[in-house]
Amino acid sequence: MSSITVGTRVETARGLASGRLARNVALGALVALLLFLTAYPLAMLVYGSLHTTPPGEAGTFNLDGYRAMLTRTNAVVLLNTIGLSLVKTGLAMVLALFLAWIVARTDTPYRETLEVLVTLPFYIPPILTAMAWGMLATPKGGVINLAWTGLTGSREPLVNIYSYGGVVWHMMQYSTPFLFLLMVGAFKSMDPALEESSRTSGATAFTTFRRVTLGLMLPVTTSAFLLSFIRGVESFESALIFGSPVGIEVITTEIYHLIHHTNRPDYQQATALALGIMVLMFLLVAWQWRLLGGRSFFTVTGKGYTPRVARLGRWRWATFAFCVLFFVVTVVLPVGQLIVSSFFKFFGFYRWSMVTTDHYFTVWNNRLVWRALANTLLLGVLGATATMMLGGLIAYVLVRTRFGIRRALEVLAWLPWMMPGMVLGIGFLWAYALMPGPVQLYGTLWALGVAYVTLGTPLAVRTMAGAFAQLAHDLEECSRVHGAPWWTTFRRILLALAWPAFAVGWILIFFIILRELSASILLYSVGNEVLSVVIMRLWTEGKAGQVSVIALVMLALVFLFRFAEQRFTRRGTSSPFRRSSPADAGSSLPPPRIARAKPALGGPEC
Amino acid sequence: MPGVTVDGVSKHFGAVRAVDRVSLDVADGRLLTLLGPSGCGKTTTLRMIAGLEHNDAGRIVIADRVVSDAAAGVFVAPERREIGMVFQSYAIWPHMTVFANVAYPLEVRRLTRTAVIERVGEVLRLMQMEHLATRQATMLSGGQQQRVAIARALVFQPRVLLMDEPLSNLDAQLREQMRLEIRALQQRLGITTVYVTHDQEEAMVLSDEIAVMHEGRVLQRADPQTVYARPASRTVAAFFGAPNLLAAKVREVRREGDGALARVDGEGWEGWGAAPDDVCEGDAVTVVVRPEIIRIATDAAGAGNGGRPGIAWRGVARQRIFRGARNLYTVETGAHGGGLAALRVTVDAPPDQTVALGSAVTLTVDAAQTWAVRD
Repeated sequence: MSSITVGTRVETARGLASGRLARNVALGALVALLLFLTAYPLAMLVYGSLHTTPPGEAGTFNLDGYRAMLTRTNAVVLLNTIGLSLVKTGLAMVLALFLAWIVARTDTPYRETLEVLVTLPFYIPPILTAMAWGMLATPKGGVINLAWTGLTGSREPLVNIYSYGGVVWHMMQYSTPFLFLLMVGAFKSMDPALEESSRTSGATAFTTFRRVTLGLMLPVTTSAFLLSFIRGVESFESALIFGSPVGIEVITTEIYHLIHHTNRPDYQQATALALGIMVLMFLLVAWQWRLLGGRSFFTVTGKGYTPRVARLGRWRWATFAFCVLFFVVTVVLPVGQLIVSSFFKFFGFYRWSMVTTDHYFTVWNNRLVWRALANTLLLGVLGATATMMLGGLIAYVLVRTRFGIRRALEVLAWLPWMMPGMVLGIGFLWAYALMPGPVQLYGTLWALGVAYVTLGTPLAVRTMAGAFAQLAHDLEECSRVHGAPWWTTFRRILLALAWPAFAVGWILIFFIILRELSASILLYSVGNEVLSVVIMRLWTEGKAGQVSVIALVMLALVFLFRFAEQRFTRRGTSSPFRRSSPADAGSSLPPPRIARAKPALGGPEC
Repeated sequence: MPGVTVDGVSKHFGAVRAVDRVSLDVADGRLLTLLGPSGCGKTTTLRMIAGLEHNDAGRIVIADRVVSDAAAGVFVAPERREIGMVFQSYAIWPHMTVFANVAYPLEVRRLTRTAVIERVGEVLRLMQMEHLATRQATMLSGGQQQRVAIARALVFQPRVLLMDEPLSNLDAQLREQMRLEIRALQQRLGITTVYVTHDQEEAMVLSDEIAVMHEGRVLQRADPQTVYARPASRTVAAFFGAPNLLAAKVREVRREGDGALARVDGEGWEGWGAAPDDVCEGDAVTVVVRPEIIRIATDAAGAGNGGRPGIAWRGVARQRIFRGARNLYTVETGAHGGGLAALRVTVDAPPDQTVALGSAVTLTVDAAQTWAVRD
């Protein structure tokens, strides 16, 4: 090849250099941003746990925080944390397995509707159900107890939500649908041939269920159990509302009280405790990894099997009723309570003369509520968008490239997964106090926004990584070869194809932001309140009526977005790039072969 | 000239050498096929030409422009190489219509809307897909997707066309039709093409030249006739159909005008076979005898080479596989009772020639139609 022109060669080399530079700058920026969002607050926890004075004040360093941590009270707190989470996970698991089996593997009528109903509590912010149950099952004036004493003439109330049982009960309402969602997928995607071959080998239906079905479910069950347990350890609302008033504390509430409810906020001990819970989380996660061989969760992947369905005969109405009962108890009762108490002058006095719409007007005229609503919506929309964009970029690097830096990115993006909101809140308190330069985030709305992005990042990355992994590499490569640079390809091919996943992830993160209380309650400042914080404040002030009104507004938001999400997922499942969807099966033309063509990391392949 | 040159290109995946110092060049307007079993490095080679993989060593030149030179640190991104590519899966973007799919390469090149519409219409007409322009890409049959993929690869008049097993997802009948169509299209447009396949028949129908690859190396590069009749090695021979590969020793070499004849001595048989020029007395060789050129006869008289040099075996017909157009016989021949395993020769005979199983047969073949390669 003697005729090669020098000109093109120079141009080529320059084009390459700029490409590589741009790529490295972009990667560097991504890593720096993640370092700021996750590693920085974590490091600041260590700093804060040694620092004797609150964030922003001059102080010295010692180990007092850790010394103060080692008390009998804190030992009880630790036992409470673990015990409560263990019990609620166990109970929720049994319930979830049963519900999932009913929905996925029996001929119970209206199963599709039941599935939607059973999962609904998952989307209701726990703070709202907590308020509702506080009104439903309080010993004095709770509707359930009023009904009980009225019906039986008994003087003793039936239930008291302010107890260990109450905390567990409230945590379960959120955990059960969560576990159900994980279980029902596993039940549904099981290859029926596995069970049929057990039957033809001579096993009875029950033996088959026990040895084959449950055996196959074991990895999913184990990992779901651990996941739910971990979520229980870091939960805040249930213990704060039902435990703290009667002296039942868990680690998260203890941290909160150390900062908010002592004469002199003890930031040092609170931070040390936060690090303590991080260590606990880390051990749990490490154990989970060992158990699951490096995965954080087992999923049963399968084609669109039609699973075997057990014929229940007349019992199918009993199982139907059971699912409906679950829905009534977890959704209808609390929501009903909120509606009722929003219309009564005083909580617990349900007489016609007490009916009023005053609470609505009070809330309407409350500027604080309007401000909080605006803040929540602004943070929700911007936060969810920013988080999903960030998650999409990280997911791309993780799934689609072989850059050496991607392991570091993966770890950084995953860190918040084991940081409870409370811990992250404290981390950011210290982080903001020590921000270099003129940039001040604390005291602004963005103090919350940054924390929300951090909290949502693991979910965003997982959602987008899952979607990207489903897209064949060819689709992307084809665009590059035919002249589109990386950014155009990312926009027009990858994001365009993963759009339903993006939308669903966006809504889920919006939910996370909407319901977030533990980080918000630490990071908000006057003028920058969000709805969950305002609700909590009004609740403490005993304004049950106004709480109910705001709760109903939030619920309306939740149902609106949940409805939108369902529309997206439905479109998503029938969209062309999901495999084996019913729509594809029905069409006579073969769908394009765009299922994952190669494992994500590539390899020698001819 | 807008050809493609691949010069000493290698690619490693960890410890695996997927492509090992491969050199090829495709002249302007020609079609070269990379042929080989899966895992031979043919797709990786193609992907390096496209810029989808970085070559660890060597140089790639497309249309007189160095697009990749590992030693000089030159690497041109795929979107700047001006190539059209058809993927094995077609890679039709499912969220776009046929028109949008085909228009995409023009849009990213910022052509005006009128130019895009005109050009896409033209190329869809060429592929006889005009009537489906507004159809959603997911609503296409395999063959239609194939046409869209080709249209998209050609729409911006690239200098080079790369095709990665484009026909492997089609059913047999459509595959044969598309083969001829692709060949006709390529010749009409005169576009330099590199084509990857594992299907030897496809390679022979389509190619100006075939490069047979195995374990990351090019074993032989020649026109289809040569690769078929005069394979460079036993591996290449084995890749085309199911020839009889008979081990033998060279006893005598007779040089002729454009080749050599060798007297070969196998296990219990001997005769004359064609051989490369450089074959020497005493060489261990594999004699390639394709089943379809062997004559089978039940009596010694009916066989024979009519005086021409060749090879003959005596044996017993043991098995017949009826294949419709052909009868496939397995004949046990050679070392009867000599302590050696019986030699099995497969013979592909015309359907009207039936031989009773168990009967003694004579097999003959002309020397010119055999080929003795060194092991």
